[in-house]
Amino acid sequence: MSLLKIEDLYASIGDEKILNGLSLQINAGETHAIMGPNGSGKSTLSYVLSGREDYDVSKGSVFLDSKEILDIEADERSRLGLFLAFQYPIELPGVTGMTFLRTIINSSRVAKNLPELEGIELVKLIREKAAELEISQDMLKRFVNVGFSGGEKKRFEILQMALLDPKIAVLDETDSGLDVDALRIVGKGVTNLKSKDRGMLVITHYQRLLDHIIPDFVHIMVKGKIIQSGGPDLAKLVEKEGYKSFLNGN
Amino acid sequence: MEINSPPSNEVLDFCNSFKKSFKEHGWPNSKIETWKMTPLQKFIKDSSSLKHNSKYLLSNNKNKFIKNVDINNLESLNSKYFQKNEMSRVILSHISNAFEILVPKNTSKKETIDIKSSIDAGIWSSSLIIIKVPENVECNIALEFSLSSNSLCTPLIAIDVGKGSNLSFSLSVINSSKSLNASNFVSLIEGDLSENSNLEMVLTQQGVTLSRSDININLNQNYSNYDLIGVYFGREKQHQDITTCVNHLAENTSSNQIIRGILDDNSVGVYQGGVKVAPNAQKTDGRQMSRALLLSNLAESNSKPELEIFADDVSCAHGATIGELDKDQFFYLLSRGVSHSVARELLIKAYLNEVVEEIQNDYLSDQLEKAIDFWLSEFKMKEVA
Ligand SMILES: Nc1ncnc2c1ncn2[C@@H]1O[C@H](COP(=O)(O)OP(=O)(O)OP(=O)(O)O)[C@@H](O)[C@H]1O
Ligand SMILES: [Mg+2]
Repeated sequence: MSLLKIEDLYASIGDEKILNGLSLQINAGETHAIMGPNGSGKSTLSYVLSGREDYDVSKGSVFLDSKEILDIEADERSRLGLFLAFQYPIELPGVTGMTFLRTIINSSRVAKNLPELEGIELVKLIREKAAELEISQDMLKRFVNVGFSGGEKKRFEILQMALLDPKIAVLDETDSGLDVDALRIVGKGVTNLKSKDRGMLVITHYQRLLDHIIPDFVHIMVKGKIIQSGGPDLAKLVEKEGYKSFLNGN
Repeated sequence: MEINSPPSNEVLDFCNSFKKSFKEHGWPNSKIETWKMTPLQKFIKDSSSLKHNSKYLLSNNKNKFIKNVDINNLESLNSKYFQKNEMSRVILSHISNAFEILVPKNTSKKETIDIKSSIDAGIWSSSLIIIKVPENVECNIALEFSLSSNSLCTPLIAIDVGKGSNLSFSLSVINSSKSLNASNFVSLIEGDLSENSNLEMVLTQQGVTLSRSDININLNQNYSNYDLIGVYFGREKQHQDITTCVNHLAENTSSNQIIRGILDDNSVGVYQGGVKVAPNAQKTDGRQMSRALLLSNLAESNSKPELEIFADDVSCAHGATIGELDKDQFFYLLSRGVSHSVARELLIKAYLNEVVEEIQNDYLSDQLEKAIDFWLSEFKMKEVA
């Protein structure tokens, strides 16, 4: 049974048609990669999936665990097990990393009918996961994403994913702005989170992330639509030849 | 310990002179410039039906420094400001409690004086409090007014800070229960600062139908400094007003007024921030910054700086912004499974965190955090309902 099923999805913002009949299916345990030229609508897809309000979805449906989610609010979608690692993580001045993580962990625990975590237990959990991503305690005392370097922001996104333990994770250019070492840390962090119960959708421009997170399927997205799908080799082809051949073929 | 010092006959005689002018002019009206944005007549409809009573509770049991106000105190204050203000005649002509807090010499910054006053339904509490801080001490004083429906509270608070002293002063206005009606708070706060003295003030207003604080500070001598952190919260049809006038009267004096407003529903916030620099007050540094966060598109915030600068070597800055909760921040939290109400709460707290961090004195920041948490707890109940 598929964990995430997107069927013939159309979305626009204002007069701008961005998604044009996109379909995609991800089963438990699978990792899919989406590649596509700038402006093809990859981030838009990730926002529409996670329930950002600005978009007008005119057609299509999205099922998470066979539940139609397009009419469900963003917070509820997250509690149902959808996670988005933002391409551009948002700064929260005045909210420390610790407060933020405590809030999101407990929001998700309450939804799962688990008791809220407080005190040492909570701190231990956060420390452990943070250490795996080489995130320092100091960073957690700072305001969320404020003054974080590009790499720190991306690692902090993956930390949230690790703590929320989603069914479906959408990673939007989690590799952009990472140096070689950070790429390795993030790659390892994400790979550790692969599991037979989880599905992943990795949006990227480069093969280098896919060297770490080896995808089962690669899709090429152009003008709001998937125009070709294949195995990991497809990503290597893009790396070598760019999108020209796909665009011409379209 | 309860503080209940009915004014002496002598004091009452003095106050009687104000009665006449009250009979003639009544409450300050909207024709007066500083009252234009806060029409009292809309809120205070029938003050004559209220009973006069004013009680204060001192939480730590040191009564040594609480004294009755005598006529000498009044005469000396009189020369300073009683006549200048339309509100003073209202307060003094209805006064039922008048006392002095004489901060002892050798008071250290660990000492705190916590005073509370509850104003019950049907009561008008009009009072005079004189706070005298001697030279070279540090002291923390907190005053909390808790109002019920159908009550009126009009305190006049006069603060004198002696040479080289630091006073950390907190004044908070809160509601004794949810959703009050006809609960009105109108205060006058007068401060006089001597050389090298410091008055750091945290003012919070919430929960009452109308709250107006008129703050008039005189930086009388060189190197005196006034800091104000004023935070008001509005919901329903509440009206919140902080009006200030900081008079820089000597050289090298400084003031910094930081105002934050959180306005929900149909509430209205007003900040009139005044800075006046006398011709001889060179090297004055006078700043004010007000920001308001509107949680509803029916809420309204008015901010008006009032600058009068007669010296040339001064640095004065002012600014005001009005905003809403940031959509992207809100979505970021939702996308992590945080509910709408918790997300709003977190972002409101973050918005105010900036001013909490601004406060060096732990006692004052605790008072502010207490006020913020009080408001948020009621905000949460509203969101859930
Ligand atoms: N708020 C908006 N208003 C108007 N157009 C928008 C808005 N947001 C996105 N777009 C447009 O939608 C198109 C798709 O944008 P999107 O960010 O989804 O692309 P992308 O594939 O993620 O690109 P990149 O690889 O550069 O991250 C772009 O042409 C963009 O300009
Ligand atoms: Mg993008």
